[in-house]
Amino acid sequence: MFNKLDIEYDGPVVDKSALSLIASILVAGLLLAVTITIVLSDKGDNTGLGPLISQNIEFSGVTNPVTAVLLNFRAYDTLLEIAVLLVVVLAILPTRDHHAPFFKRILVSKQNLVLSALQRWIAPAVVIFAGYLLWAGAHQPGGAFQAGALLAGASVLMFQSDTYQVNYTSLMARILLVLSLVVFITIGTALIWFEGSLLTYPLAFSGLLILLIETCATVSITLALTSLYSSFIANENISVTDHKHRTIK
Amino acid sequence: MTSALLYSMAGLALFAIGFFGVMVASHVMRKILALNVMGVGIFMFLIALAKRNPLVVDPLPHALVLTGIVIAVAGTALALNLMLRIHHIDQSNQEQNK
Repeated sequence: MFNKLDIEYDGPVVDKSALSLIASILVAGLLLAVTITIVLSDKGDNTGLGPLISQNIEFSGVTNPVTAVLLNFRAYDTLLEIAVLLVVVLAILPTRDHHAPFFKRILVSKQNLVLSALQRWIAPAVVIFAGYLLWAGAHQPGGAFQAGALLAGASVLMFQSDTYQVNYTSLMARILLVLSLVVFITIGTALIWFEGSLLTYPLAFSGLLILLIETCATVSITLALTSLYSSFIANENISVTDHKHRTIK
Repeated sequence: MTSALLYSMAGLALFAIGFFGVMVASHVMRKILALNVMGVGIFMFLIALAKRNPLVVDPLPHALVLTGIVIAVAGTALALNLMLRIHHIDQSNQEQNK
């Protein structure tokens, strides 16, 4: 990390990693001082927004405070988060043939026994568990993102065993990818008509609407995450073109 | 108070390690990983400060971190894709120059 001792050397000592180390320690020290000040100056009367949320939880349609914040009180954040995920997927999806079918089963002669058995046993259980997580999100930790991540993990396992292939540019995949954003925006703007402001759920239907949005979000998040994963594998086969659009490789 | 302080300081330590990594690492992959370590440090800091008061847990930072994790995953995927793309172009340029 530091310069080696060189007796002959007579110039200035500049070591990038040493300077970086000093800078990191300075930054860490500064942040540490700020944190200690924040935590120690707190006399216990600062409860954050917890009480406010727990007072209004009965108007949110769910009983889990985190889900209430994500899908009701701060629904804008979740809407924009889904939009960001979609933008990233659109940014990295290479232009592939969109006439290919959405879902394809490849017949391989030599299967990996461990992977295929694991996939056969675990994938159905994961689907059930993801459904449970989605449902449980209303009253305990869980929800669309956890369920989507779980399903994406199961999909990765299925792609590892090389028997399935999904075309992320097919019409079906496109529809499923934008499904949650479309549903979210449609419900949000339709509520202007009924309730007077964006994303203000009517009290009687708030739980149902949240469940609907979360179900669509689970589908989209699963597909988005698996397409992000597959982009690393598919990158091997992309031909690179130069600025005159000639294929280099 | 003590556990909140302990965990937030651990989060800060992670942030500082990541910061050092971003500045020192020469390979882009290591830089991306270091950025992720920084992000995890910030998440830990937020979660730790959500329970400053031992009686009340603030759910708002939890929701923020949940959103942040998904954004971090998306950003990392984009960065890794750009890295792979640059790598491919570099490789094919080298092959052409041979």
